[in-house]
Amino acid sequence: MFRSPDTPLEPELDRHAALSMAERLCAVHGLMSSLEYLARRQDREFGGLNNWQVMRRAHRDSPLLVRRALDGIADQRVTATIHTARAACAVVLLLPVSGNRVRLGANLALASTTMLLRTRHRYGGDGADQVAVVVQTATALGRTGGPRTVDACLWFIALQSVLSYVASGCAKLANPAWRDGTALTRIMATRLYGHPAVWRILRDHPKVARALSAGILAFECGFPLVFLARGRLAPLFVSSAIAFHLVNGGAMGLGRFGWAFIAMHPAVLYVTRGPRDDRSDLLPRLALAGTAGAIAAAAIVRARGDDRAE
Amino acid sequence: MVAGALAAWFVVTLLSQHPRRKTERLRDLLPGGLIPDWRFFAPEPVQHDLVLVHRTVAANGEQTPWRVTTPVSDRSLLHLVWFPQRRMEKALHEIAGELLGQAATGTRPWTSHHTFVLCRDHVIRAARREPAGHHSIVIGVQFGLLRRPGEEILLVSPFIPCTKGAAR
Repeated sequence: MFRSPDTPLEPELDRHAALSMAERLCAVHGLMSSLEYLARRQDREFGGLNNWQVMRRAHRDSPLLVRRALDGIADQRVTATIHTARAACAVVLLLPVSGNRVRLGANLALASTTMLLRTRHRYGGDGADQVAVVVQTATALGRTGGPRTVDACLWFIALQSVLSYVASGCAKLANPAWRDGTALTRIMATRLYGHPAVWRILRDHPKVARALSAGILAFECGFPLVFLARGRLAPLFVSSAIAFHLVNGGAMGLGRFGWAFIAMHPAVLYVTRGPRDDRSDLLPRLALAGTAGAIAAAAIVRARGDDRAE
Repeated sequence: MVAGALAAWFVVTLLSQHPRRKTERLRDLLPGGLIPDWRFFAPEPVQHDLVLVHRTVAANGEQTPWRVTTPVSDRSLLHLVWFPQRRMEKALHEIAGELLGQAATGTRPWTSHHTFVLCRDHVIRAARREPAGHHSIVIGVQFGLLRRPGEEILLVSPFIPCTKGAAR
């Protein structure tokens, strides 16, 4: 009848569930992405904006082997075959297939082909593709070892997720147009990323634009608060992030963005549950030490440079 | 070992996210886009459209008015799950930006840059697909890049012959 004080209010996400959720959500992005590419063959033909017969000119100075490899990948049939295989891998990950080797292979295939196709699809790539590489590589690695390896991979995905919001928020904070809301209004005025109805509201109500912009900055810069109070704020931030991506998907035409970013959230929920005996927290310690070391090294190099200048 | 490698990968990603883009070169340390750039729409977001426009010239010398080559799609809820043309809308913006940069600062003539050729071929294909008007044979096209809002013309191409196979 009565809940013990130690009993969590929500069922806890275990490491394998978090890993599976991450790879499934990322597989939705992978499936959408490859099916969309397959549906747009004309973009790779004469007059298309990723026509390799023209784009290959940008690689004239690359080594012969690289050029031959790129020419091979860019062949219409090869590109289509790779995308078909990617879609099949994504379907495997979405199905309740539990074989570790099968899921490892599917993740590895998705990660490696995302990187392989990057040059071939040079124009039109976006942040969702960057998230996909991070999640697919980490989930593939997570399938290669035991619980400590899975934990390291989930920590990595979670830290990248937190960084993705903070880096974006801090960079926006440096621009006064973001702080007063005009940047948001101007984005909404564009055809590429905007929405006419939202733009009219923001143009007619600058206070709404300022408040909305302040809300975005607070949400993005405040995302590290997911680690506070043994992760009690994490579900709130993750729910807000899902809403944020849904709105962006509808208003800005960034549908795939949402699927990719949401794929990082199960890892956030898993690692923010406070310190636990059964979870390895080695990766954040190494990352902290590495960051401190890199900053110290940069400061020393800079100080030596200043001495020489004097 | 996995933890060490991933920690190093994360640290490089973190250090490459300078708000004023002073540590961009760190992103070249790993290939294949492995080091993401998380600073979306920041510090300077996209605040205008770069629109590709073109006009055609017929054999009798008649010119069409400028028209948008590939309009951006209107928003739809379906786009949350299916939006195949989206990548090309973004691609056009990137190619236009690169071509403008080349025209402004390039050491080589901008008309030999691959972004010019991509725009040229894109316009020729669009012109060939347009329904024939009262003039019959299109002999050439010209394209331009327009900044919106503001309707400012940023670049106009030379006349491009458009007989079958001429631009291939």
